[in-house]
Amino acid sequence: MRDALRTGFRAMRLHRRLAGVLWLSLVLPAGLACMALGPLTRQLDTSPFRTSLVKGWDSWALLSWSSTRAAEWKGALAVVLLALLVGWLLQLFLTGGVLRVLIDGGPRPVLGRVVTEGTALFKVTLWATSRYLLSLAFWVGGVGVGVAWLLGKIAGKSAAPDSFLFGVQETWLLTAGLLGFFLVSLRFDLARIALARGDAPNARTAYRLAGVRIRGHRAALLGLALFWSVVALALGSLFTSIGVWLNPGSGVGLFVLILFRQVGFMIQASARIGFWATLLHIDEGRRADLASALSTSSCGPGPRSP
Amino acid sequence: MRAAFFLLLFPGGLAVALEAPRKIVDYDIQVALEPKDRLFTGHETLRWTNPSDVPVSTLKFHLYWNAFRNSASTFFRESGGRLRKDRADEKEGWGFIDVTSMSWKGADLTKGARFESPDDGNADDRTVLSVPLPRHLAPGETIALEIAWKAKAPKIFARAGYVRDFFLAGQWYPKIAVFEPRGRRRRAEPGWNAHQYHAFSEFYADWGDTRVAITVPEAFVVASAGEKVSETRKGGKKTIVFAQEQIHDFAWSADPRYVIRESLFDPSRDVPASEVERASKVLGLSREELLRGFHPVKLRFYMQPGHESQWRRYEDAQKWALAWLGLWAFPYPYAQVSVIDPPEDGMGAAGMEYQTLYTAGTDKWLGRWPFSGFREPEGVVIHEFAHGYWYGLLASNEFEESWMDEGITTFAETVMMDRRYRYSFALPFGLGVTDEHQNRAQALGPDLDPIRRSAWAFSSERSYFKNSYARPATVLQQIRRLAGEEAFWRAFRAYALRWRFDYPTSEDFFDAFRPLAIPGFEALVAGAFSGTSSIDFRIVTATSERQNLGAGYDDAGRLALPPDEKRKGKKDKTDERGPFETVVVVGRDGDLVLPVEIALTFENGQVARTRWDGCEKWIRLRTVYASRLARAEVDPAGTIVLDRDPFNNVKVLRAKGLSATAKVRTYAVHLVENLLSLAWSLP
Repeated sequence: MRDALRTGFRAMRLHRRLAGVLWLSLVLPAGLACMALGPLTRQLDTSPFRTSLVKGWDSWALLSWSSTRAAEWKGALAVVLLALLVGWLLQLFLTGGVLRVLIDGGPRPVLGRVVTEGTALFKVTLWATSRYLLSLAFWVGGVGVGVAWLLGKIAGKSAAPDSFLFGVQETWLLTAGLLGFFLVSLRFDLARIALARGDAPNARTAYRLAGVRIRGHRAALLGLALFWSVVALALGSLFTSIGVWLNPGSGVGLFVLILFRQVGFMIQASARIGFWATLLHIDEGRRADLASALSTSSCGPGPRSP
Repeated sequence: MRAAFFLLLFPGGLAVALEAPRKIVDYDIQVALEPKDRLFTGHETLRWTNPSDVPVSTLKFHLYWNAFRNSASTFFRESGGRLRKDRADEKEGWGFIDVTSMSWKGADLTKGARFESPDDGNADDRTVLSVPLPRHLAPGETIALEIAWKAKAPKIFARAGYVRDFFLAGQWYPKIAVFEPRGRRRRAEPGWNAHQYHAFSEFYADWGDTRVAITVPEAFVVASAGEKVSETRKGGKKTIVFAQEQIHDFAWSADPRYVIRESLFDPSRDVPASEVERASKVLGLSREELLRGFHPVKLRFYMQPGHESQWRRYEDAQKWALAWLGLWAFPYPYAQVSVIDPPEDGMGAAGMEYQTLYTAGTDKWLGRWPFSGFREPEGVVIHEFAHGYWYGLLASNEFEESWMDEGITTFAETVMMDRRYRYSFALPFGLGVTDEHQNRAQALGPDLDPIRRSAWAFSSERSYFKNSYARPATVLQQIRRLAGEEAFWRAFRAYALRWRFDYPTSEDFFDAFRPLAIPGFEALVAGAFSGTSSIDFRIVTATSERQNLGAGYDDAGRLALPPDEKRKGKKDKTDERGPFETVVVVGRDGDLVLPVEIALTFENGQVARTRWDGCEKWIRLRTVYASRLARAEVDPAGTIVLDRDPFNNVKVLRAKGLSATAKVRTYAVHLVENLLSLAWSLP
């Protein structure tokens, strides 16, 4: 565990260019969102709220803006959602390349290599993603929410909202939902690693291998995933809080804010690199399993996924 | 000073301000609850005095639980079995109330009794019972009726009823309607004012004393209006007697699971000194005058298990409401307040007002981070307690003028919430939305209905809510801004004092403000209360050009070129030399006429202000000044809160400093990046 974390932190330090590439998956969709928000926000400079907004927060500006410009807000929101989707796909695309570069190291330019490798892996990554979404729907939706719904039904209409079964339902929803989400996501991550290593020719095999690698190490992997999540969320909260606190009142201040936030996102991207490096380190230790799994799969029905 | 002001507002009217209500109807009720069958078996002795100068031959009663009798009732037809996101249980949820006997001096009155539907003619509605008397009741004569009844509580989805072992008894007993004498609520001829139970209204009643003996199984905790008088136990049941003088409504609740928390409102500790100082300054009253009439009030909170930790939030809001309303209206006259916390599966009963008792409402999540910043529990407490003034202590007719209850209450709520909590909806990082702004946003947009309208006559549920809550609250904010703080609050307080224990109408409210000669006030009364008028000020055009004097032919016939032509591309410092001719056209869309200020800010920092009465549809301002116009703004102080679109109130010709667009867009883009980076924060 310690070695894995040490590897992760070392990767954070060493692979700044890779973090920069990953950062692009934020900046490019953010640019799209910025363009979509242009016509909507332009009105603010010619509104009575210019001064108050430059000073800080204005509750009425926000409410009257969204009430009187509902159609424009909807249009902008649609583009922002599209930007989020694009950003997510971009992350999927770049992650494949990032993983290959992390695995192989090798010459620069990093961006070119990430794009080349990402392109090569993108189709199979999309297949793995669809499998991931199905698993998520099953474990979080079916098992998490479904069981909670069943508990509600068993409790019946006559049970008080604070009754034991409703308490169990709430706890189940939170813990099983989160646990399901983390485990399903971890398996997806390991499957992507298997694809990046070339251990698996397709998403199905990659998922099978990920299942093998995760077996018996769930607690350790969950611990590591939680650790990096906490690190990333803490970094995000810190930079967001300071960003809001900065509240610039001049052009220079705004420039400083933008710079500061992008540095923050870069550090968050580095934390993501650290997470991947940690997973790769653990995965390395499970290569023996991989060999046996591959040999089994070539001769007969491979190990079954849980 | 105070008396003089009062006289100014109500010439000749001061004498009728009441210290106590006119006593018209007393109830002495015994009721037994069978929780298993949800049955209420009751008997009441009703003493009613004919308040008019004419004899009365018929009595009218409200039997409001018949609204839940079947799907043919007016309430069901109006609501469709849904209210405030709750849906009726149409299998087991029905309720009813049946009068089993009614007599006067031994004479049975039920024989000639029949149901009436004065509001909509619905022959299937059973909520108003008309009972002919064997002889006329003379003016001033008191009748003592013996009434027995049986009622089944409906399953809660709207206001009252049961869910599991929780019972809320509101509008639960045969209640006499209001016989209005000549002059009451400006009535020319005396007569009954009896309304059916509607989806959106249920309150208007006469004052009197009520005593209720409630019998329930011993395990039940009873929360009731009034003061507890006695408690006796027998055969596994207990009977608790409650009594309250000077009220016109009585509700109670029972639940074996209630967790009781008690507190005391102590004026010496719980009326904030800063608020006393503010009120003293604005109202022109001394601290002693303001605090006169304040007294300790017992507070009881009947909490649901799982919500106990939130009682402090209720308590804080309750004490603040007692303090604020006591200062800006008049001190609460009763000795106690009971606050019911309904269960989460009975939220149809949440947020209901009754006298000396009301229902609040919260959720266990609201007691936990990050949801604890949502001030919903405080907002409900403040709103419902404020109802105790505007429907309770000033007995307005909620059926016919719902804004006088809901609208004034919402207005008072916004002031109280924003002053105490700043944001009713607190977002992370110190951001949030105020209660007033939320209401203002809801009040924007076109209207099909005026504010003054019978609650059941609005074009839609949405229109009812908008025109009974958010819009009147916003119109009152408009009046406040047009009148100024001192004038507004003095008139507001004078209105409250004058109509305490009485029956005000909209006109009585307006009359409290008319002597102030507030500009635009009558336009608001006609346009917003009685009409659907709207208003949107905007800067139509704004130009500021170097004055081109001296171009063209002079008297000697010589042609002079305009200065710009002479220069032909040679820009120099003289371009920025004045004088500059500034022309600004300000327009008014909508047919509500209100006065407004217009401010022209020039590049040299000078600001020229002018006031426009807003009577015409537009006005053109022309000025020649040494500096170029930088910004033209209509309503720079944001006085016109009814302005439909504040975004067109400004034209900026030349701006200095940071662009708000750039700043807001930057933060918005960072938000998008934050959302995307969440994918990095999780495995």
